[in-house]
Amino acid sequence: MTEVIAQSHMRHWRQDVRLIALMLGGALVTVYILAPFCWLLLSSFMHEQDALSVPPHWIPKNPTLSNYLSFFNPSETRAVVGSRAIEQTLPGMLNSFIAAVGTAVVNLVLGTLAGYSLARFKFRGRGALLGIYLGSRMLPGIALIVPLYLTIKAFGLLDHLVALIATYVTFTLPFTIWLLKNYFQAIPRSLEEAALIDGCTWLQMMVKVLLPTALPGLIAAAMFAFMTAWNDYLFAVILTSTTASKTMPVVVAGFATDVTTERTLMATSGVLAIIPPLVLAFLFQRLIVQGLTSGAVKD
Amino acid sequence: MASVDIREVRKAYGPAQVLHGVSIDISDGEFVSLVGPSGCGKSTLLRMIAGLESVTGGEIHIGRRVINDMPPKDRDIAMVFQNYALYPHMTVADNMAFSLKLKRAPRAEIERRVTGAAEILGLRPLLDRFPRQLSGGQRQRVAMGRAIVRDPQVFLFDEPLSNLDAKLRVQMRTEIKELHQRLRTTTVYVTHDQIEAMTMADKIVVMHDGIVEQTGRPLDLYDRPANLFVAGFIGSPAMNFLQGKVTVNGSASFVTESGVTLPLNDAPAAADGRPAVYGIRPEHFVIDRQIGLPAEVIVVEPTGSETQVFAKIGGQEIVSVFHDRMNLNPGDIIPLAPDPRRAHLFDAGSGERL
Ligand SMILES: Nc1ncnc2c1ncn2[C@@H]1O[C@H](COP(=O)(O)OP(=O)(O)OP(=O)(O)O)[C@@H](O)[C@H]1O
Ligand SMILES: [Mg+2]
Repeated sequence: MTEVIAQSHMRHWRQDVRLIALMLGGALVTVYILAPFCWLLLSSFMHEQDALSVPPHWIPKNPTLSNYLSFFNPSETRAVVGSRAIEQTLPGMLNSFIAAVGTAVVNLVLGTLAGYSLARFKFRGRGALLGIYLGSRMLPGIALIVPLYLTIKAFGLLDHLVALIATYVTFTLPFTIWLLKNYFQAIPRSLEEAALIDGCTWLQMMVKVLLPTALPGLIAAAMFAFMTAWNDYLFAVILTSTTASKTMPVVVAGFATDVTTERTLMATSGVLAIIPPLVLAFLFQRLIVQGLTSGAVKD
Repeated sequence: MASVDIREVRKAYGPAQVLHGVSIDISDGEFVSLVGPSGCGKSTLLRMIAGLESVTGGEIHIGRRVINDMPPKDRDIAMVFQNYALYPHMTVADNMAFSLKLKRAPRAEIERRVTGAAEILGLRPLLDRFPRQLSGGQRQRVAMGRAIVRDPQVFLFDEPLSNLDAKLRVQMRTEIKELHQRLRTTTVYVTHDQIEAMTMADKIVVMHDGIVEQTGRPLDLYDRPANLFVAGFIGSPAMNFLQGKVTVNGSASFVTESGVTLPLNDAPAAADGRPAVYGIRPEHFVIDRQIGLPAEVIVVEPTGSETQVFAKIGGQEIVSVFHDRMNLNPGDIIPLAPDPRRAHLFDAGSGERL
């Protein structure tokens, strides 16, 4: 009897230790991921001397918004030391945004059509096609850089956002198609059939029933495409050269080699670069998690 | 409302023939049930009526029109799916109003019909909910509501109750029947549950391997099955079958393979000496010391309202059902007598009724 109790104590104790270890581990990983970002965020509120002080410290001495203001409202002094950062950040963000939204939109349109066909129709070469899509994900982008550069040059599209969007679509679409194919497959066919019987044409069925039902999948696909384009450095650095198409990662990387750029301005542009995807993530996360499909059928 | 005529309809998926020429006449306002074992082609036929599957051969008429190649949206039918297929992003009210909105019916009309249907089905308090906020039975009702607001020519049901628990199934069975009595809309109802078919339908179509085995009113199928398949499919527990030979000289009788002689009221003269199958339903046995055959009790299963007795006659196992409480034990010998007026005879080769 006492032995049993002792054993159960032992088990509880083991569980507690396990829980504490897990929580500690989680906390460590969180710090590891968030620390650089916190540094960035805090630096963006510092004065330059503050940021350069030795030893470095985390908390700004006299927090200031001047770094943010100078991006939207450049002042005389800043024009000298941080001119490149200030000139290029906002156009860079705009370029990034256009490229990312463009990539997401093209992915959605083509991915929906292809994904639907692959999910619903059996045709010759379907399996091969899916295999090729999957295989293309195995190809590292760096292997294609030179032919890609030459191709785009031949089209006269260097330093053009269209070239960037086309490139990003090439690399994201196969995955999007797979994602949406799987999503459509999980939606029962009877839902479409019910819509057809209720009086829909095929197009009405897609727009009024299937796509709204697939909304979480569509959002996930769009986010994936958006983020891939937003984060890309490799292709952007090769294919762009001026503010006509330079994207944010290229602009930010440029600061590191620029002797006149202030640290605090770099940090601020970093924070600005994070805002759009962050906003999108918060906006759509709820929709994705909500699980719109539940309740359609008896499961 | 309309009649539905199915004439020599065939269906093939590539080389695989699924329906081999099915003909069914459904008159205006009739409730017809398609029954048969899994894979016999019930759903396929229903989906062909709905326009969800192409017709390989034959003709389907709704009213006077041949609708073989008409898209589903123009057929003026409503279908209730086994998995309900509710639109998950719409409220109950919007689910029901969907078809009317597509037809651009006036707002007031939509409102009136949706509330009317909701009233009939007890969905009034649920109109603003989403399908995910409903129980299985409520979802089933919404699926029916979506069908009735349309006031279609024909209702099609594909095993609408098979996802419900036993109690709810019985309740919904009655509700659907009531609904049909009220609306009198031509209905085709697919089920593999023969009790559902028996209780609800005006007419039952028994299908098997892509052909129609028999069509008729529920009790006609029960009392005069056309062949062994129907005899075995309709009725629960199933009819007992005993192999043997018919003798017609003098008074007709049936001798089983093990030599037991069973009584027959009469038999066609042509059947004399033919190998045949003797069919007798479990409830058509009596315990009678005078004419009973010795039967050894194997298992006794009381269900409360009746008692099922499994016993052996001449080495062959049979099941009988009695409405009295029986005080029997395994191993007892009881005098069991089949009622000769209720016996069925089938040809052993073709399975057809003799
Ligand atoms: N798309 C298809 N391709 C090939 N064969 C099919 C297809 N759909 C159905 N079949 C075949 O047609 C036959 C009839 O199928 P059906 O779904 O009509 O059966 P059912 O009577 O409704 O059975 P259940 O009671 O299991 O629902 C089955 O043998 C099935 O394998
Ligand atoms: Mg079926």
